[in-house]
Amino acid sequence: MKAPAPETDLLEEADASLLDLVDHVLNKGVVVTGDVMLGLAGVDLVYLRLSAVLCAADRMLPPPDPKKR
Amino acid sequence: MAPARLVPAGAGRWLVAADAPLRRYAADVVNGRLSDLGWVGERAMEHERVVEHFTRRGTVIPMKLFTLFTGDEKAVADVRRRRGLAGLLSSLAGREEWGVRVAVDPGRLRRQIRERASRPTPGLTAGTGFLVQRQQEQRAVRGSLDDARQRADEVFAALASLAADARRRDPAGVEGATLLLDGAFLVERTRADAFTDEVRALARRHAPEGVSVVLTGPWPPYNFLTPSR
Repeated sequence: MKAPAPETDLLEEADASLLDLVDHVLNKGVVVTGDVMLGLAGVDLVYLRLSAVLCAADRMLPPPDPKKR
Repeated sequence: MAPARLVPAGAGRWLVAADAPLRRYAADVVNGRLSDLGWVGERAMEHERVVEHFTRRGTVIPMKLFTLFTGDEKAVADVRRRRGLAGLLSSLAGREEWGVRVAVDPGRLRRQIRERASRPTPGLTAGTGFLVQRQQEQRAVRGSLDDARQRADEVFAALASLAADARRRDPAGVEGATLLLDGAFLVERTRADAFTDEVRALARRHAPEGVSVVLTGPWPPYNFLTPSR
């Protein structure tokens, strides 16, 4: 699994990392079409969910401390 | 899942394959579990572990998760039929993918704008003053969003100049927070430090404006398997 670089500004939740990974391995890696066809049409939802999780993480940041101004 | 094994595919190439028992991986079984994120997530991690293992030892073209063939011969035949593999392999050699997301939270922006807000306009009643202030705020948020979008474009351009190839995906908009850039960058392994240093520098530069820059990776080159548009 990917850990984001520690110095970057935003936290990435475990959930976001997992969704990110699933998005990569399911939605990309498109080179070969196998014999067995799967109904992967629903996997776009993974990306929507990923966006939702990322944005939720954003909102969880505490508001800036007014005393610092 | 059975251990991974190497299947010769000609021209010095190999398929990394593992036997998948039908009772767990028949199409209807997998289809029935695709909405189970816990299960799919475990399979995704297994897949990723194998891809990463071989990425450290050579150039890998990762297949999509759940790429299933009825036998080795079918899989090899499919790979041999493909054109452009040599070009693809040479475009990926010695390179890895990094993901960079730029997001802005309009709520956070609004709070910042409110903190920096102008004093009440003199000569207005309290109620009118409040409305005027709200209007100014909305305008400031819109302006800040435009500014943030421009920052995202600058981040993409700055990082693309350090990369061998770069892709940008239109992010899905989610109310309340906005993903402005979802970028993938194919970077020479030898330039990885320069690239990640630049991402951190950009993150520090834009954070005070409510714009976050998040790095993930290194990834196998999932986003660089198809020709750029």
